[in-house]
Amino acid sequence: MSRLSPKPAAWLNTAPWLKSRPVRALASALLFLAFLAVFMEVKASRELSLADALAARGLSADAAVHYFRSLNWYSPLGSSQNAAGRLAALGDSLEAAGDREGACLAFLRLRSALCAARSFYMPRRDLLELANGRIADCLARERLGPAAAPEDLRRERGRFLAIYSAAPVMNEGWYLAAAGGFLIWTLGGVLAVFRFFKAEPSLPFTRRLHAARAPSICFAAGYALWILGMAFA
Amino acid sequence: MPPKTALTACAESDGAPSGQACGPCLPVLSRPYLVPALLAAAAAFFYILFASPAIGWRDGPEFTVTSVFLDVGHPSGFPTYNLLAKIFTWIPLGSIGFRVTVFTALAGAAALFLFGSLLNLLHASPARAPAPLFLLASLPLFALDQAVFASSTELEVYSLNTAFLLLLLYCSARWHSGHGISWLYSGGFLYGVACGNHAALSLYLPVLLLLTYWGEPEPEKVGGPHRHLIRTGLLALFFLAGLSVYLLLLVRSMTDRLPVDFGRTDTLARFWSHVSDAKDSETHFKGLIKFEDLTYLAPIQFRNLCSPLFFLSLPFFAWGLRYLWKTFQILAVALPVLILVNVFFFYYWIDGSSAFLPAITAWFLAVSLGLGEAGRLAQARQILRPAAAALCAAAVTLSAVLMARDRVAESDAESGFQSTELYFPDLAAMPPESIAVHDNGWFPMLALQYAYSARPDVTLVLLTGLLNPELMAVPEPGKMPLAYFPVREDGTYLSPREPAFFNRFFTGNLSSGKRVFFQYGSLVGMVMPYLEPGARYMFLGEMKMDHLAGLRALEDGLYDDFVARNEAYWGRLAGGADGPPARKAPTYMYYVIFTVAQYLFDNGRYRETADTLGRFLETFARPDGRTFLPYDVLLNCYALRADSLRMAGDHRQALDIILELARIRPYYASNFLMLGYVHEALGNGPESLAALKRGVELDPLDYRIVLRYGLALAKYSSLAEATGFLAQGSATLEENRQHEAAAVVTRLRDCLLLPPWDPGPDIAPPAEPGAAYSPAPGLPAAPAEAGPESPSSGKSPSGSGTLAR
Repeated sequence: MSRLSPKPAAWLNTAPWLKSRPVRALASALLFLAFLAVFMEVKASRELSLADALAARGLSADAAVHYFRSLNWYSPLGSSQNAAGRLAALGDSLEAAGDREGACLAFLRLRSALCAARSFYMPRRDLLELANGRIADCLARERLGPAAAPEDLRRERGRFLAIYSAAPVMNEGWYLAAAGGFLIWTLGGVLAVFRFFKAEPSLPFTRRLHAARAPSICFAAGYALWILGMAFA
Repeated sequence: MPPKTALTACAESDGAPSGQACGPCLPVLSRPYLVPALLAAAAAFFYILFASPAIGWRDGPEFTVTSVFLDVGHPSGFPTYNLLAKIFTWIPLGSIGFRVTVFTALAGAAALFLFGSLLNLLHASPARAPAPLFLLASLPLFALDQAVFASSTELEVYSLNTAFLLLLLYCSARWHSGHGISWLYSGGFLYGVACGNHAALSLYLPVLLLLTYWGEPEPEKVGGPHRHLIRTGLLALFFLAGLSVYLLLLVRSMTDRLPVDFGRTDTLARFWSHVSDAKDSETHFKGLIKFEDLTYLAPIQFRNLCSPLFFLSLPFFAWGLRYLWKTFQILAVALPVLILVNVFFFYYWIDGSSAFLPAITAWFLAVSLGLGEAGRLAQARQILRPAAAALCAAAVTLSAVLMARDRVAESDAESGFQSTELYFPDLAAMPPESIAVHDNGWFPMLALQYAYSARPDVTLVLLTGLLNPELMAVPEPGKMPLAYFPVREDGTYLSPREPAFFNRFFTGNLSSGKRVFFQYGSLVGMVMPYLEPGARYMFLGEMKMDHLAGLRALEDGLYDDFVARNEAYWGRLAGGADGPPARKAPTYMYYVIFTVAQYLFDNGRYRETADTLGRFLETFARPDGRTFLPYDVLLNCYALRADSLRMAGDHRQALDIILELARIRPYYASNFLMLGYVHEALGNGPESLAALKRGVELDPLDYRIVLRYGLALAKYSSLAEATGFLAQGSATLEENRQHEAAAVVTRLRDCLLLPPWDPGPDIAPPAEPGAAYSPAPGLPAAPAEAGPESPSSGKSPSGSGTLAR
């Protein structure tokens, strides 16, 4: 019975670098991220539509929940950006309508959703600062009551704003060192074992050690990086 | 050199010496790892589609925080999981909780890839090469198995655990196939790293030792008699190198900057205690100790875990083991041992099929090999004609489609938002700069506070850490600038176990306008004993505040939505008598319901509690025995329902449930305490005495039962005998909780005119009700009544009883 032999596609011959493993791994990762981004966008836009429909019916609290959900599917260029803007607008409109509690909750949702979407950077800093200011207003008023003097209110607001602007604090560089160091020492350890024991058994010990030198150095360096990262993160 | 596998063998076997035709090979099948890789990629996409979108339930919120901050999780700490998940928290898409779930989905896909690769390797003999279609048949079925799917779509460690287990089996198989000792040593190294993901992997050490030392491959039988010793030493060295991942716990805890620091692992003693889970070590082998339960639990387990496919797979399992016995003898022994170890260790905890993933994986491996053998036989007898092969492929596809349909029907990814939406309003509704003292059940709040940074002005204090600083670190007061912690004159902080702690904690925080909130009333039992009389009134004043906005919202809206969705789900699945068997529901269900019920109970709404749980049990625990609910949860629901019925005065109905509970778990002393209460309420003195006596026999250290038995003896039998038990109960109290003893003994003195008891110099004399209570502006006045006594609301109901007087 004849069997089809695997033949590389013609276009692969024109670009031999496409055959390299790192390039393929990178391409797979990008493909995966693209899939995630599309998935996020589908989910985010669905929640956004639902939230808009609820807001149009005057159900502000329910709309805020679904704007929050839309932001949960955050992507830098997707519908979630609109959700963030509309949640802020909803907070403003609630405040204008005199519903300060509802407005405060909307801004708290906005702030939480943006903080939960943080990575090496904080998304939508403009809206985050806006939310922090409104939350600080709200807390200061709640703390001092309706009869508070404007000066006291301003001072209290400043205090709350400082608390909210400072959080969350993350030393992501050290965390990167810890997680990256762990990956390096784990992979280095496995490679070192393979290099050392895969070498021809008749070779002297020092030659086999030499064969495993590079991954062993990776192991040691990764280990040190890992410890440092954990200590300072 | 790439390994020779079934598929490469197939590719090479045109005109094979055995005369076995290979069948219609496809180009893709000639690449041994391509097919598992493609299927793993497809599985990854499928898992992500149904992945929990946010922090989820159970351990999910905890793992969200621990992976973001590289914290110390509950025993044994899970450092490997946290380090790997941390990398995924940087993906700039979605929320942090979802990113960690994506990591578990990828771990599930990696497990599938390793499963396929291992199968590939185990079929390496060309003479026994099965038809490729048969070899691949089990992969989609494994990927869509309920336990594999569930663990790959929720924020948990189990899918990574399965991947590690398969990786270790793969390394071992490579070593046995003569691919070099480097596979053995790298397996040892990875085993250490894997134990950092879930310490339960260490249970399989006998299996892996078996794999290492039985059936040494021919090329390794050189080096003299000392080779075993050298090999063992090197293996131990590499294993320890991998296991050093646990250093994370030590180093991170020493930084003293962690939101979650279970075990407070900054000293070697506590580190070891945490890693070995010493505090719960007695319960680890509960399943083995309570062997008599097996007869009762096994059918329930079986029903929850095994689908009809299980029976179809039985002959293939046997066939697979037979195949292994001929080709890979050691694995034919190792796989059943692995299954037995897993099942016997975990059968007692029926709270999720994920615990049985190792057994399920081993089962699938053997079944897959059996299928491979079937394919080989069909080839050898030349009955695998294209039509027959197509029929088999259609059967596999149909099975996979049906399983996928079940998974899709069971999946309720949207519900992953519920924990966030339940707890967010609670946190948002806290007054400015308030203090929330909570227990482990509030992990979603912890995730919202730290991962989502929801309310930086609110201070979260974990009560477990506050009361047991040796079990969980509380960040130093200096790290909590927003809460007041009592300080001594010399500047050191007061221990929460010191009598003045809570009094000053409340006074200090309340007087500065901060308000203190507690998780629901079970904490009354944990905190009350430590309060001085005046502080108790303040505490109760706070408890009466209507602060649980989130739970109210849940009670009003989410609960109905929740039940409606799950009733619809039940309807879809059950669909009458011919419907498919019910399977375990998503784990969030009972947490929500139980939280609501507990909330109602703690607020004295006993009839509503009973009705809520009754409706819940009616919906999900069907009379035909098919249940969505994990067994422990089912019993917890029944216990709380019985208690609420008792408190609501429906003693007869409560009695029926408690009798059943006592029959199911005849070794649970608390069942007999409740039984004693109910019999007493029904006027059945002798029955009450007998039940309480049994409770005392089962747990002579539980002062509640001993004291209640003493009281019952005093009432129904002899006062002289009663005094002995009351003294014994009091002594236990005195040993364990001096301050709690004061309250209980005072109460008993009132009842039985016992001689006066000296509470010691630390305890302030009882004050007049309300005398020490000076509420901060805006706080309510002291209540006149406290909550009723109940075994369900904590270990020390007596404190509130004292207050009631």
